[in-house]
Amino acid sequence: MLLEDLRKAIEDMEEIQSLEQDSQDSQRQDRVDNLYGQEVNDNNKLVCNIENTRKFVKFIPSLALKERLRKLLKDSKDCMDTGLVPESRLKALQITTKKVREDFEREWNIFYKDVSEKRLHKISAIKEITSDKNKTGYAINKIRNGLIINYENDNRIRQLAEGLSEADDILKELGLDKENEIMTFLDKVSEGQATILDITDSVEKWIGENNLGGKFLIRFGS
Amino acid sequence: MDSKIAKRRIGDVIRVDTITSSQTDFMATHVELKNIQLARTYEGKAECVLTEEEAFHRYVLNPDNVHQLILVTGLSGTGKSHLIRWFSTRLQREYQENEVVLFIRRSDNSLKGTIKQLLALEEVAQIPDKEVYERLVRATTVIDNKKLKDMIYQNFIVEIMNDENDEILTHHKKKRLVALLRNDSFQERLLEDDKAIDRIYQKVAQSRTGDTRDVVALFKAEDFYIDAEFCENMIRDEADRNARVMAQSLVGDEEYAEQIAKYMNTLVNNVIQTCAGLEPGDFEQVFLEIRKELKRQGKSLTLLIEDITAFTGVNVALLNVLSLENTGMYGDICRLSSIVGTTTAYFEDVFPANYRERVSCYMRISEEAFGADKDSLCEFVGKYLNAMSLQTSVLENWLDKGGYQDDYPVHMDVEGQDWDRMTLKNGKQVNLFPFTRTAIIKLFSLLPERQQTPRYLLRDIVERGVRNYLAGPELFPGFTIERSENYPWNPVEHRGRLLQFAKDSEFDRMDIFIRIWGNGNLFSDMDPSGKRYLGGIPEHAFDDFRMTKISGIERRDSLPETIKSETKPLEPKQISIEPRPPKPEASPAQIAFQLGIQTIYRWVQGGTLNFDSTKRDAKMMQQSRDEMNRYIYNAINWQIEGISIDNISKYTSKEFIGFERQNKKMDKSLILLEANSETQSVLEAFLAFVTLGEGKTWDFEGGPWRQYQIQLWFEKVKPRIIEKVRTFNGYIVDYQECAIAAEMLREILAGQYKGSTVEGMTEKLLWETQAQTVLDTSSHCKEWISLMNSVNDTAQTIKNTILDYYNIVQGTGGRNKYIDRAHLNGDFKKMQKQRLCIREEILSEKDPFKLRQDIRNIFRDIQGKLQKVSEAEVERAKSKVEKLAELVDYKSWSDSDILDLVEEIKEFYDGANSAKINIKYEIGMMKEVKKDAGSIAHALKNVDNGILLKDPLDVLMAFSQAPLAKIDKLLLLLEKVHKDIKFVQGDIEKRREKAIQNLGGTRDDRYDAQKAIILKNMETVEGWEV
Repeated sequence: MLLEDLRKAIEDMEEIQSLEQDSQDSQRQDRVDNLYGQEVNDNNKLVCNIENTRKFVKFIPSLALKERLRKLLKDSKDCMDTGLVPESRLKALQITTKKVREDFEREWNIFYKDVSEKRLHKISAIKEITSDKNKTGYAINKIRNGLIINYENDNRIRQLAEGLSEADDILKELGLDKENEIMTFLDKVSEGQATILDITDSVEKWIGENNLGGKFLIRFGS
Repeated sequence: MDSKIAKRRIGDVIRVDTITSSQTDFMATHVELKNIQLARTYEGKAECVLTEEEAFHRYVLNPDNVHQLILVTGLSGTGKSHLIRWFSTRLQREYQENEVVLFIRRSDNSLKGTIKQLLALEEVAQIPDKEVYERLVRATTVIDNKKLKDMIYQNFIVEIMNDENDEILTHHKKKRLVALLRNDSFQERLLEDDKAIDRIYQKVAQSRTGDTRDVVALFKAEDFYIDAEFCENMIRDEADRNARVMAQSLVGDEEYAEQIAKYMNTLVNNVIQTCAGLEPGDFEQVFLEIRKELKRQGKSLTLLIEDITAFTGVNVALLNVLSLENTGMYGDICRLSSIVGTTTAYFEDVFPANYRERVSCYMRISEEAFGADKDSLCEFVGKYLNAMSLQTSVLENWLDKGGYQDDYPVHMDVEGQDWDRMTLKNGKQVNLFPFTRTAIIKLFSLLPERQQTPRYLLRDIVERGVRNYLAGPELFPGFTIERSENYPWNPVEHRGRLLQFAKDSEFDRMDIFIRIWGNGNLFSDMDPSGKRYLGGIPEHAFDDFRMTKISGIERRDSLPETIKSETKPLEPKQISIEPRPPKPEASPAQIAFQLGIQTIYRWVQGGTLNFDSTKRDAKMMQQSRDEMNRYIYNAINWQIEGISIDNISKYTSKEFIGFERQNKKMDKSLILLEANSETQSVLEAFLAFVTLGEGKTWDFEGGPWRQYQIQLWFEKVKPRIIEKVRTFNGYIVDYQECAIAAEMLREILAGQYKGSTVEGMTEKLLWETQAQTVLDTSSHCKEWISLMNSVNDTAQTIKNTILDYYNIVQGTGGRNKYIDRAHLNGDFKKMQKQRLCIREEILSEKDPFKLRQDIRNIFRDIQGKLQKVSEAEVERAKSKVEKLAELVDYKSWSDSDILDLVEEIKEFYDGANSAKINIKYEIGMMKEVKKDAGSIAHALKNVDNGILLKDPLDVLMAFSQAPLAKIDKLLLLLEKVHKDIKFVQGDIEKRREKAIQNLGGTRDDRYDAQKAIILKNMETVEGWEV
């Protein structure tokens, strides 16, 4: 009947418009597809990177980050539903990806700081007193390089993990891993807050044992 | 009269040509001619008026013995020949020893004949070369008529060809004239009887008899009148070029024809001379010799020539010899006295002017001279009647003894004793039976003016009358008397009395007898001697003619006008020229009335009644009939009789009355009057109004009585007439019902009536609706449109008929119309009840009033087409709804459904526009449908219902508001949409294929890799602890 034909015709026209739009922009679509593919890859790298951080340095993404990632992936999957990834959605995807990445990087910074800053202070503080200064320097570099995320490979994460481990070894070697009074004293020294009062017997003993007396300076405080 | 003798003698006695009668009869019937005017010149005043005796003694006898040429002139039939013959007879009796008298009759009137007679005189037996002359006249061969005519004709051509005189016609014109004369068709014309050549021939031929008087042997202009048709025939027949040119130049040119005739007449003499075979010189020579011989013998010659016209061609020669005086060098020839008769026409046209002076004197016989004297008239008739009742021997005896008037023989009366007589100068009385003095005078006065001559009196009155009597007294007077109506009945009523008492077979002759022989009335009178008269006629006269005895009407006065049994003896009195007796005293109206009642009488007797506007009597009948019809129309108060003025006005001819045996078609009249006495009286009454009342008044004698007769008759015929107007063929007039039904149907067809039942119609629509409607051709089937168009043409006529029919005319009418509402409503409801239908058997009857029938025809035409129109409309509707049903399920649609549909259609077109599909966006159509959604939905319902109807009228009403036009709007839109959808589908399919082609494959595996990655990542993320 006419009505049915009419309605069908209306749908068909809409569809063909869409199809034609797509068909007329095939190069553009290719580009979009490329970008999409790229986007998916980038997301993949992000995910892999986060996975690496988790694996190597025990990074724990926040729930929010996870949710965003989950949505991001769903969105990128949904892009394919119409058969062709619309450019508009790609753009949206790109924006989302960027945000998610920023979120991750923000959380990573926090986490990095948390895991690396003290160590860096400590070993930077005892670098001179370590038996192998180069090793300490290497460890310090590794830790420091780990701040920048390299989405292409996991080298930095690995090295960060190594650096942290080596830093812990160095500290352990110096017996500083358990001597909290000494680490506290060294933290204060690294912060520039240590006073003579903070030199406890254990601290004094450690300094003496390791012959580190000449490594510390005394200055007037404000 | 002695009818036994008269039967034998009438043929001898009554000879219109005086010369052919015997001498005895001639003398026995001779009546003295009294009014001979003597003049010295033709045009001059008469010096005196002579009797024939005076003329004879003073001039013919020639007491002075001088040379003289006397012309006796007068119109044909006035008595010239009679006078000359009488002169001759008298001369013979007045024997003079030294006078030779020669009388040349008309039949001898030719050169040869004259010379023959002259040569036969014993006095000229001894003239020298007599044998030569005799041979000359004998030498003429008798040529047959046709050959002689041809000879005459050809001689004219010869004369023209040899004519060197160019005074009248130039050489070229003569050449062309010859060519025309040689043309067969033209020749045939001129050779016809009574044409120019025939007239000339009559003068040349010797053996011709018959009345050739007054025939002038000359050409007339009419002989050369030619019309365009003749010219065309000449062209068609490939006539000679010159002949055609001549003919062409004569077309419409009377002057030129006159000129040609004049020219031809200059040649007549030569031609006649040639054809007569005698030279003028011969004649002159012979005559000269004869006169010389007579002179030698000491004698003189008196020559009497009856008619000079026969000398045509040689008239100059004749005049030469007649005018040659025996004086001077001609002293050796005898004295000649010539008395020559000539008609006025001949003298004026032919007699050479230069010879007129040589005429010594003119004796003129005026046509008025005869008949002026009533006594002479009666004497004339009486003498003829007397002569025919006498044996020839008696008259011969009388003549032998000298033929003196005192001895004049009078016959013994066998019939007509005690009848009217005429006393002669000699005291003797001649019986006028079967005429009377009154009859003779009246009959003579009824002759046409130019025929009031002795000849016509003898031929048309005396001879006819006597022969009629001789055929049987019971038939007399039964001979034709023209213009007898000039002597009508007076008083007119007496005619009715005669009708009453006379037998039908006798009425005509008694009617004539009383009016002509009598006084035109039935008054009974008695003279002092006790003799009774009826209408001035002695009662015994009616017995003489075996007529029915009728009792007369007494009157107090003594006899005012009676027929005396004797007329006064003729007294000598001063002869003077008397004017012709005055015409009959009856007025033209009375004469006309008399003529009319004769006509009516003849019709009642079994004749035909003629109505005509040309002949007098028929015209009067027509006028009388028209007056009857007019009277009927005005006398009936039609509206009171229940007949609409419109109805009667549609009877345009108003010929209510027709007459049995009338000459015109009788089918137009409403009633036919029989030819009986009642109709006769009524018709005569109207005739009296037309004639005596001049069509204006009844104020004439007997008028009121006639009016009364008419009224009585009218009351008898009125119901018949009214019935004929109210009904036809047993049916009551119904054209007004037809008009109402036609108008109601028109309103339905035009959609002006919006209801769905006939009962819902009101009569107001009849005048409130517009007559003209123009329908959109899409609104109905073509049969409906066609019917509507034809109905439009007559719509105003129908409306006017309705309003006029029911209009109550008041006074002289006016512009306003006052409708007889009750009557109109009654008829209107009747038509509603009949569902606007009138049975075909009624409609097939033809209304005799054409205008009424026209209205019926209009309706019949409409009614006849309704079935076809309704069927066609239903078919059209079915077709449309079928198409609609193929597209949409429209059953039980409301207006909102239609609106929704329109919206979807709009969306479709918007989509198409957006998809850039090339289909036309008919926004107008959609707006229309949207606007009329309600009426379309309604129309759909109506159409569905209408298709199921069977009665044509119901169908018409169902479709009257043009629901199909509404549906058409929707259908058109849907059909377009349907078409566009097809187009769109096709277009989409093509575009889809192309699009996929451009996309290079199916979409299904396009993102497989990414999909796998994403899925893996999702799995990874799901495994994270947070």
